[in-house]
Amino acid sequence: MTDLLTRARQTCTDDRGVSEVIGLVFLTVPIVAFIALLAWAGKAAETVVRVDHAAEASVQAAALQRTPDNARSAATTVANNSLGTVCAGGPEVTVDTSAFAPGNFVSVTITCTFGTVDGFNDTMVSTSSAVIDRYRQP
Amino acid sequence: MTPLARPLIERCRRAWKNDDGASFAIPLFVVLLALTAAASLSLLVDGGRATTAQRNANSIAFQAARSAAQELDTGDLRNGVIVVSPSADAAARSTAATLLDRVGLDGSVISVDVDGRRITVTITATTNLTSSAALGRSSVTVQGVGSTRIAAGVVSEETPLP
Repeated sequence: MTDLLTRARQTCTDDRGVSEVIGLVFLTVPIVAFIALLAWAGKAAETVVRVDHAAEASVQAAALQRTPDNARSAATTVANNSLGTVCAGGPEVTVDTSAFAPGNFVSVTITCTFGTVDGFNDTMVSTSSAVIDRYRQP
Repeated sequence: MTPLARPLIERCRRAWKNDDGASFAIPLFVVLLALTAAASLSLLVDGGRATTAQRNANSIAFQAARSAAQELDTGDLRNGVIVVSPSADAAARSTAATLLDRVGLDGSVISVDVDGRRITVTITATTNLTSSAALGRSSVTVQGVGSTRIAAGVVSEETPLP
């Protein structure tokens, strides 16, 4: 018992204890930063998937419309329904209908600013293109 | 240096110089931790690139299949019969090439399979990797599959389906 107490006293008063505490302090910062980075990456990855999916769904909705105006409206509606609560202030939707004709492409670009777990904002951009059906009333 | 900090730093210096093995153990641990973190981040970045390429490949294959589905034999179409034209293959390849170029991927169409009204397109797409290049892998090739079915009708699809 006495021996045990002596060893404990030596351990607590030894300089090595100080170095371990300092080492722990130095390690804690990068470990916490790394965990925060992983959390951010998880949130960002989830948002990327949702924005990509919304862009694909929006462009598909646009490609089924008969006029450029309807295409823009349909794409915006789908994007807002998909990302209304994900993006701060709602998604920014750009519909490229410059070549809106049967057999051509229509493109939708969605820009989404979202809040990350560390309190900062980040922005994701996704573009998707779709072919406009050829056999339809122009 | 403030008078309060000097004794602390002196104690730290003594502690780190202490020849009991701890002076090497902690820096070694920090180095291992840093290497692990760097490896994890590089996997994260390159994994993300591969995942994006896979998503793009599937999306492009689907659009290529839709393009092929637009290529119908007009003679049969006038008689109310839906038959995919031989030009469907070229249409799928053209659409795939255009969209691959738009997203900056190298790739090509592997196959355009027509089964009645069902068209399935399979493509490959290659994307460059960044940090994995140091491990001898500079790119990754993914395979995308997209399938579509021709639906005929004026305001809704004909029923019963053929």
